[in-house]
Amino acid sequence: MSFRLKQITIQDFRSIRGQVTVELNASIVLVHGPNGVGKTSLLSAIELGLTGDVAALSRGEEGFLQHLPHKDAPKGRSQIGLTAIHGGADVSADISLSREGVEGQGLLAAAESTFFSDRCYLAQSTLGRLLEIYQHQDPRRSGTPLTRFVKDLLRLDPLEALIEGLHPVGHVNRLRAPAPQYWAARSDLPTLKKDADNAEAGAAQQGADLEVTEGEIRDLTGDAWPADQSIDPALLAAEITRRRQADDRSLSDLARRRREIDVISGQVTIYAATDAGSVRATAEQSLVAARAQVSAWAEDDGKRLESVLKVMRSAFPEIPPVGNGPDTAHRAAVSHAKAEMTRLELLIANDAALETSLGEVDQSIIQGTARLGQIDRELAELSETNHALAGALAALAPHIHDGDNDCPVCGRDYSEVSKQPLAARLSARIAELAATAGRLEALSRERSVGAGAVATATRRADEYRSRKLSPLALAVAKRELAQLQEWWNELTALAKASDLGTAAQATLAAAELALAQVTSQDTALSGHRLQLADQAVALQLTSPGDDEAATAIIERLVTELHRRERAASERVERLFQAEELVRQLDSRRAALTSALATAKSRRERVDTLAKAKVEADRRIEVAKTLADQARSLRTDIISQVFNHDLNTVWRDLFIRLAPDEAFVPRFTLMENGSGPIEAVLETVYRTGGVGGDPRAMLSAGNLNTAALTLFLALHLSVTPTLPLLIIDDPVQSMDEVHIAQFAALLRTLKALDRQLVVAVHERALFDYLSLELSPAFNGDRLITVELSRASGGDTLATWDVKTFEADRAIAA
Amino acid sequence: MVTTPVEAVGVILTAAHFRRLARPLMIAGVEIEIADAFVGAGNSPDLVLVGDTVNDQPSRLLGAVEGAGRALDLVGSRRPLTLVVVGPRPASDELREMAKFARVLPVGDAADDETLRNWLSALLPLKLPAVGASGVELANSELVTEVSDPLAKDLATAARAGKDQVAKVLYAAIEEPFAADDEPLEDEADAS
Repeated sequence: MSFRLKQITIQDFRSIRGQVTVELNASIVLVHGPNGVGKTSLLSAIELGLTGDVAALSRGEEGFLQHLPHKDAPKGRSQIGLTAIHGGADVSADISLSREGVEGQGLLAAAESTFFSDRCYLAQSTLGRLLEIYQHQDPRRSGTPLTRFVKDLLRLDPLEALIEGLHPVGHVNRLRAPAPQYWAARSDLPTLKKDADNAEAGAAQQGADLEVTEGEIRDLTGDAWPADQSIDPALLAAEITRRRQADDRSLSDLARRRREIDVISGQVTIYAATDAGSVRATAEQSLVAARAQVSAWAEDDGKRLESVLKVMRSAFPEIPPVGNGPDTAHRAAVSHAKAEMTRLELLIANDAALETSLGEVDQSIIQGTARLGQIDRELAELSETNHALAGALAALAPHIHDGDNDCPVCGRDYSEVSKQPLAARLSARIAELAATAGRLEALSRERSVGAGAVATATRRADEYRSRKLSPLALAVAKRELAQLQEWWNELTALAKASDLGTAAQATLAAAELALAQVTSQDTALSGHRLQLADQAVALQLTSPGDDEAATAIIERLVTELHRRERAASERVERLFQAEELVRQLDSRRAALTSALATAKSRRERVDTLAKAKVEADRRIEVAKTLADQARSLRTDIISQVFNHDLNTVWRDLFIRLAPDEAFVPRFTLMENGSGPIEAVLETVYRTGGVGGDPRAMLSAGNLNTAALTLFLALHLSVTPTLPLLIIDDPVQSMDEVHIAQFAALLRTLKALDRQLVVAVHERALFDYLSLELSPAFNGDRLITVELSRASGGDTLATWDVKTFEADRAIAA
Repeated sequence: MVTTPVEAVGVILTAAHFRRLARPLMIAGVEIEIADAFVGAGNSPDLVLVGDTVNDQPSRLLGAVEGAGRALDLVGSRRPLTLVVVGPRPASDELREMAKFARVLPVGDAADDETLRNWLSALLPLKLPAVGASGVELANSELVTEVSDPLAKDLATAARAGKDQVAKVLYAAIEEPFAADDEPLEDEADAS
């Protein structure tokens, strides 16, 4: 941007009293005046005209504004009019300043104003403190002004913000609190992934197991379910049940058949153990022999026995016939005979005993009757009245008192008769009468008993007589007994014969039975063969031939039955297993579905999370890359712009002014990783090696030089927003060498297209600079301004424009 | 290859914007005896004399510089005069006398090339680094374009508002992919 100060008019501003107008339209404006006439006021006025403010003065000073208008100024008001050529056109600012404040706008926009204050105007008061100011740390702000300047200079704030803001991506732990979801995903993902893997593996295993099970079910159930169709557990279970029940029935049937065959087998085995032919012959021979024996017995002993028994049957019709068993008939006959004999013998004996008893009873009746007659006679002697009298006398007794012997009946005194008292007499009499009565009573009882006994004996005698056999009956009994005795004798003689007959009959019966059994076995065997043949047919086996042994048929059948039973049992067993498996099928399928769903949802969750994490990681990576680039960019910028360029410029400028100085000041940026940067000043030996703080290492003059060159370096290291340098008396403590160098430096700056306004208080220096800074080419101008005071106190500003004059000293 | 400091000075100056003046040196018609002399080209009017104390006594150098100064004054020339003194350094008062007429650069006798340049730098053009705010801004925009991800742009934008804003944008970006994840989680929780 082309910019050049053109002219300034100042009225009553600070040390300037009255109005002065100074031409400024030159590459270098040199201002001279003794101290106090307003050099600094002129420069301040320029600042005010440009910025509308006096930053250099306001630094750290309260209420400075009220001191700005000259103390003699009318109405306490200053006026400043500044004209500049900006982009080829004139621009002006009119500032009015009073104690109350500033009126009017400076020439510059805000950014340019700041640039001017920071980079273009080196106030005298600032120069001495520059290094201090730059290194002073404001406790309320981070970083020294130098650091702030450096950051501003480098526009590092956004980079720093980026680096510091992205600091957390440097290590994942720093994201724990601020990015909890990312952190959780990061820590949980492996577990969740394992869970998902496990769930999938589990579901796959369940699926495989289920397939195996369905395969097993198909194996176990055969064609119960179509091979190309998925198993419907309910339908298949019904089919299995149906089949199993069929097999159960089949098993029952087989078992029944086996039992039947077992029975047949048992019998056939027994038959097989005997020789059917010889058994029959023996039985038939035995039968013939037995029959002969029985016949022989019947002709001999049998007849005799029969004849006896025949006679006896007239008396004992219940005797069985001999044919039913001779011994039975014999025993019955003996028994009957014996019983009858006993009865008859007892009858006869009883009758004899009865005869004896009857005689005894008759004798006792006679004796009893005789005693009764004796009693009757005594009784006749004893009067019945004796008893009544005794009663009457006893009734009298109460009427006879002791000592009174008067008779109650006759009234006579008994003492006249006897010495015995009447009462005693009466009592004795009563006793006497009573004794007679007692005997009478006893005899009466004796008679009654005796009469009873006689009556009893009489009845018994009658009874005996009634029971006693009639002589005819007794004779019959005796005759019958004799007959029985004879029979008995005969029966006793036939006892052995009877036994023999019985034995013969038994032998015959046994022989007949044996033969019957043989016949029966033959019949049974043929029946069994028929049954076996039926079984064979039922089992759909080859019908047995006539020549096939029953045992062979049985073996064949049993083998087949066992085979079928085994097969059926196995089928049933398999169907049971299948049933159990089918029963589990529904729940296992449901479990599989659930497991698959769980696995799927977990997988989806993991995938979603992993995807999100991948994206988050990618973003972190982007942030990392950005942070790295920002860091590296910052390093580059610092190293390039700051460490290299700025220090190079500073060093160059410093050396120009102090070629003798062993130390060179420089910036160092304390860069600690991703943290903020901090700028410090230090010195280095020209020959290398780090020195210390410039304030400690440099002489006062060179310290000033360092500050001045630092200011210039800072100005030169940025885009010249405003190509203007205003320097207020910078050489107060410079020695001559420095002054000469400084003049060269000012020319150098002019060569860099900066407009320079430099105030000096020293006359010689002013003259020297006036010469040294003479215009070097046509169009180049130097303006010199002399400030002084008129006698009235008003400030005078005398200015002069020097233009280029061709040099004639040296031939071209 | 130079063998004398005078030559070395000549090399440095001629490499800058100086040209060697013809010998004998005539200034405003006055002949000046000096080892070497240069004049700035273009807008630099500097007249530089180079004297060697090995060959010339300081008094002779003083005479030369005084002569040159007077000659310049004679014709009203405003050329700044500089005397480069190579070889053993003259005494301080001698240097002070010389400084009345010219800028004196006593580069010293055993001066190496760098020291020489340091002394002469006042005469040499200032090399300014081609940097400035625009360069930094360019770097910033390069940073943003190098990382093509939108997030990088967002972060770079946030950086203007400070590090807290950067961190805020960063955390939001890291957490954002998980936000869509919430709903299926709840569904799963409901289902189970």
